[in-house]
Amino acid sequence: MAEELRFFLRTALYSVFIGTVYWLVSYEVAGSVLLAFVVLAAGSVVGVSLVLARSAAGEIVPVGDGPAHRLLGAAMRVVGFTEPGSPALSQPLEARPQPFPRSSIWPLVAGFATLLAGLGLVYGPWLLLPGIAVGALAGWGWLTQMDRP
Amino acid sequence: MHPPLKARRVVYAALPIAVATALALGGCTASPATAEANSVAWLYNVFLAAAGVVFVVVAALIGWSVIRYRGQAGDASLPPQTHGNLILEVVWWALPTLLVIGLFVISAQVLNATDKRSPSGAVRVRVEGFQWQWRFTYLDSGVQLVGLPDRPPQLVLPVGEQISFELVSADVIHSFYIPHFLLKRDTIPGLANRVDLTIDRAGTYGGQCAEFCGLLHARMVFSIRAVAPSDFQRWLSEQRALPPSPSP
Amino acid sequence: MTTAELQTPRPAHGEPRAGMVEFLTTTDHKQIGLLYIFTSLLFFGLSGVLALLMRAELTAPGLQLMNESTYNQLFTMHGTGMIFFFGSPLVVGLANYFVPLQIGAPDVAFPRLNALTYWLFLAGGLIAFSGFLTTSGAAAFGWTAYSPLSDSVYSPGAGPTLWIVGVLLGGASSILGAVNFIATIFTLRAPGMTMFRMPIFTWNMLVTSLLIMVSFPVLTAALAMLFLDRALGAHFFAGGDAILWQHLFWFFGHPEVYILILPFFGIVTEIIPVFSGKPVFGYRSFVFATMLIAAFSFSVWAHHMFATGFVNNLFFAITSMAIAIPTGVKYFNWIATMWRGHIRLQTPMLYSIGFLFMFLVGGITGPFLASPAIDYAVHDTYYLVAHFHYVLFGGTVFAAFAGFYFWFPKMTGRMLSERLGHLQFWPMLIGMNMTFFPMHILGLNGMPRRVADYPADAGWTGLNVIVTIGAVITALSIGVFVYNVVVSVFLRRGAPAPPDPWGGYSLEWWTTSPPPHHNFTSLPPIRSERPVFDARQAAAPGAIPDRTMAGGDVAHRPVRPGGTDG
Repeated sequence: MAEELRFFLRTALYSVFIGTVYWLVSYEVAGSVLLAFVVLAAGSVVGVSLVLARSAAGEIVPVGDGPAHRLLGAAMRVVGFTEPGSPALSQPLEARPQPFPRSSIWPLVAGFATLLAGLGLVYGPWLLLPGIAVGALAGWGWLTQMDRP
Repeated sequence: MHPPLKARRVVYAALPIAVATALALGGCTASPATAEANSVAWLYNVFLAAAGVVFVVVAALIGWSVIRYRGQAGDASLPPQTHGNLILEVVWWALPTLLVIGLFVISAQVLNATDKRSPSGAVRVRVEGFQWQWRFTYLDSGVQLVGLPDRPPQLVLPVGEQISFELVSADVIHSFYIPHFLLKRDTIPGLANRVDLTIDRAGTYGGQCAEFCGLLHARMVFSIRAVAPSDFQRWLSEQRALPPSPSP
Repeated sequence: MTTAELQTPRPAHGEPRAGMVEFLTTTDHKQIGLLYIFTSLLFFGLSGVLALLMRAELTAPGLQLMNESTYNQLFTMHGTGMIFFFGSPLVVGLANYFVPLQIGAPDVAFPRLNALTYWLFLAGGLIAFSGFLTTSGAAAFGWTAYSPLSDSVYSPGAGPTLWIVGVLLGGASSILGAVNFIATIFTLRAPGMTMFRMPIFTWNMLVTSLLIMVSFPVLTAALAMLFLDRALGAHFFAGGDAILWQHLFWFFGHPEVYILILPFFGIVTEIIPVFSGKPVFGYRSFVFATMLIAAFSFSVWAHHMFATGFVNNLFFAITSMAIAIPTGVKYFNWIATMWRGHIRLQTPMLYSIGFLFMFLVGGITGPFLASPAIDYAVHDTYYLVAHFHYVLFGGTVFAAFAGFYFWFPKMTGRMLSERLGHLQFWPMLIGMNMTFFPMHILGLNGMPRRVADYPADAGWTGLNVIVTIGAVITALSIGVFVYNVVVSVFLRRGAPAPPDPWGGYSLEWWTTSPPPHHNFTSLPPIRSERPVFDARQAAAPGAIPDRTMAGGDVAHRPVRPGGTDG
């Protein structure tokens, strides 16, 4: 998961950086709102990353000598462009589980429900309510579909 | 199946030249009529020169690659499999970076000149956009000009004196745009904008709303007649003698 | 050359005419991809017809064919259709079909969610365009829907509200699609397919999905606020902050431009190496440049607002100009990829080269607009229209056609005619330049965009006539493409496509054309970003297959390595 996590971490770092710069140079409320939301988003990314990194120890935070080295190493690997090697040989795909439904009617029903509800937002509850009802039906069908063998 | 190879080569070689020529011929701004517009036109020409060089170099490189390295029929050999070159890549990360820094520096200088505010202009005009015309008020004398969609107003202004426009809107967002001033600025409901400029060439200049504002947006045209200061004063006193024009 | 010699086995799945019911209930990423591509092309045609009507009106001064109200609806729905219901869904459609194939996955991570995104997009498109059927007409405030013009006071009626709901659904569809792509790319890659062995198209789709996930929710929120303004009399924008809408809209709107171009950079980066017989030059440089473009795209939104006078123009000038750097790097990398290669000028490569030239013109007019002082002069004029049409037509549409010709055999099992492909290319190139190049001059001479009429004495008439003729030529060239597709697939006259008609590099060329239900029955070893190339080299070192001639003339089929490599 190393590069995948770094993908989000880089995004978070850049967002906080540019949010701060914009906040400093802007003279409007939008800058403060942007910074607040960016910090919130970046914080959640870092939080999730830390949780995941613990389970994949060593991939994100390199083990080093002193705290400074560790900090530098971590920073380098977050923004860095390296990827630990992975097994090069593939296995035949048939061996992998394929939990993919072949077809389902419920996306179509849910889409139809959204069409009704969307038009209902413009034209009134006589379309909105049927839309919500069909949407509920679609949700029920969707959720229970995978239970059947 | 294909056009003859020679004809294609001519086409590929002619394409960048044709586009570059067209850029050079058609790429000039409307002739500038204010002191600020002169510096904008200069900036535009610097950008155009840089763009021309970039276009010719890059287009020539593409054209050359396609012509020179066109595969020959029957040649099934594998070309050298180059994956990259660190020095080359550093060079071509650096080149556009330097160009962008240069363009930004001169852009910032010209922007400071065009956005400069003086304490108070010699002539102050409030420009109010409404659906779908303009109301111009000379703040010092109270003279007011109101346009109608089929009767565009003509703003008369003196040459060589600093003019301050105060831009406001009565309803939706409009944009005060005079092509020969190389300038536009939005009129926004609830917010007042300001533009200062000095006209340095007498003449009549067309103007138009540039921000889409509803049904008759295309009819929000007006014109500016720039005259000598003495003629301007005479015109202003004539206007003051007239009864105020009806409000639409 | 003939069908009999090829003896392509009839694919077990993916018959050209799948039943109607199958398409309605499918969760197969390939069929959903086809639905997306087909529907987005319908919206392309519809929005294109609107553009032709506008051009007909603008050919001469005065109002000949329609009144201002109709014209304003036309340009609003042209922009809306092209951006929200052609560009974005086309991206999603191509990604739907090819991202799972390129990473060796059997499907996307959430197949039913994937089907839902298609139906949401279709519902959104139908709702937005249904405004034409209402008495007050469709929305007429431009695709940017600037407040307070878009408020119920200045734009009354059902049409504008339908526009809001339709675009909102289209946006929701994109968000769900992006979640799906990121999950697919992160969790369903075949063994050996590390992140830095993914094809560039997949990389660009990953970055694009991130852009969608960050930008579209902002649009959704803004549209919801606009809806509340109109329906319930809230005062977020009208009577509130008039330029708040512009901040929110362009915070979405500028990344949206990159959503519409980055995947197509990816397509061109797939095609140029294959048809040059070389690997992509500077793979990591490419990926890094894509990420940088994406990152910058979130800090440039207010360069659309220089003329408002209420943003920090210098901040947005430097960030906007900086985007030229990674884009320039991509150009050098594309050229270096072609350099000393053996270039085959088949249709996909032809359109890619057309893209390189046309996007270059659109690209170098970008810094002009990023410089605030110049932007004061040319913003909201035809100069701007010319700029973004060179980017979106010369860039996106040319690369899209490159992608169509490249992947059409894979998607349908039949080749398109190379001859018709060339016949389409040259009129499209000439027509496009006739349409959009004179617009630069019109803009510099002061013709504003979004006007139904212009004064007869402005001196713009001659150029407008050229523009209209160019638009007609462009439309005819698109007609050639439609004819090509109809003949190849619907009349079944196209040559059957082998698994790998072009000598491709990435995994989609390993499987049959079209692929079976779960895509792969076997996979080559994945040791670089070119697994199919590697397998071919392992079988016959030092040679590229001789496919200098047109499609169907195929002398070579990919080698399936047996026990020695597998």
